[in-house]
Amino acid sequence: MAAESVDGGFAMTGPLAWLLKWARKNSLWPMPLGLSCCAIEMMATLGPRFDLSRFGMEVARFSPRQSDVMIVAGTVTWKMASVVRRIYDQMPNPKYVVSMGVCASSGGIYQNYAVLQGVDRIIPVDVYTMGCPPRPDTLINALLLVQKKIDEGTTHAHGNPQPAVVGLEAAT
Amino acid sequence: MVLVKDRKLSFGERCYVKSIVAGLLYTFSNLFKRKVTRCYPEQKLAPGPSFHGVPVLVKDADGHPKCVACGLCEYVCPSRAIRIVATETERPIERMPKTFEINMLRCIECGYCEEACPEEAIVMSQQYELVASSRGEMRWDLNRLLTAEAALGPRLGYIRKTFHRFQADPRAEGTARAVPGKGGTGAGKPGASQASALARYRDGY
Ligand code: SF4
Ligand code: SF4
Ligand code: SF4
Repeated sequence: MAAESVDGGFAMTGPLAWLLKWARKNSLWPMPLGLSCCAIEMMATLGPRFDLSRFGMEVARFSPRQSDVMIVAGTVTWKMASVVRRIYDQMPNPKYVVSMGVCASSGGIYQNYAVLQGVDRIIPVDVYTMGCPPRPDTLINALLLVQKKIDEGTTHAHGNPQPAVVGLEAAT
Repeated sequence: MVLVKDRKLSFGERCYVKSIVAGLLYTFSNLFKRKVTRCYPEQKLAPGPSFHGVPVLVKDADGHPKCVACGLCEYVCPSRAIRIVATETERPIERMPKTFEINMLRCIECGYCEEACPEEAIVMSQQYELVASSRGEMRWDLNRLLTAEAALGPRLGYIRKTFHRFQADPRAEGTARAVPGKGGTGAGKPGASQASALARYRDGY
């Protein structure tokens, strides 16, 4: 099975690519980008009740250079947008993005001049989650979907173009 | 002003051995305590009737939406997540939605739509774990929103109790609910605070 790896320049196939994928899938280190209230649920997810370490994701440190999946948890204001983008740029490839909560996903309740209407305006988002805030279960579900997408090779990091964003202007 | 003087630490305190051992003992003692972790994908939460999942539309026995496309939910929705296009129908309710769309990436599960709806046509479901790879997938249309009434039974019972509790004439003896915490359960005269709340409610508060 010739599965191409995502490393620039190297086309890895066979067992090596499988191993790489397996390793990446099971050691997703999150970059917890807590911007507002959703961050509380993200912290709950890391705690013993939900225990993200069961999936190899407990290493939530605020160091973009050592992380794989960025969890945008909260309202992305225009003022914060450039910072979010810079943190995303600092993360090493391959990198994945989970947009946690309706604020990050679409602007949510804040349809106003100060809030970015969806973080997918500035960075490619792999998984969107519902909820204000999403339950820790929902966040775990989102991270499991990231794992599944890594398995299938359908993340943006695999070179898939970002899907046409559904109605940025028309977004209800 | 209070002057705080550093206490001189003893040798044992300075090399932290005591604190490290105490910390490790605490960690290890947790190994033998009750486990609190709920392993999510296998053990799911069982929400009660008061749970707010995403809102869905109620389907009547004939498979039609109960909704009469009055637009109240669209109007009250704080995040403008609902879009309705109304049309006419031969059924006695005369109006029904042609398209009904809720953007689950806008909805904050506040339940205002459910509270505003005069027909009990939109209620909060127990779905709380929706994730998607694109924004389009999270815009639910009429077909996806329609849910059989039987599946929403507990929630419908709950909102009948909660939102329509003032419908019975509160002045009639025995119909008013007892005020919680005022002693005694069951039927009784409404307490003062409840009576004024009822008055405000009747006056269109
Ligand atoms: S989605 Fe809700 S909980 Fe999350 S950041 Fe926005 S307002 Fe806060
Ligand atoms: S629950 Fe609240 S945000 Fe969601 S559709 Fe109903 S009114 Fe709108
Ligand atoms: S408030 Fe109820 S009846 Fe009116 S449009 Fe909304 S769902 Fe339909």
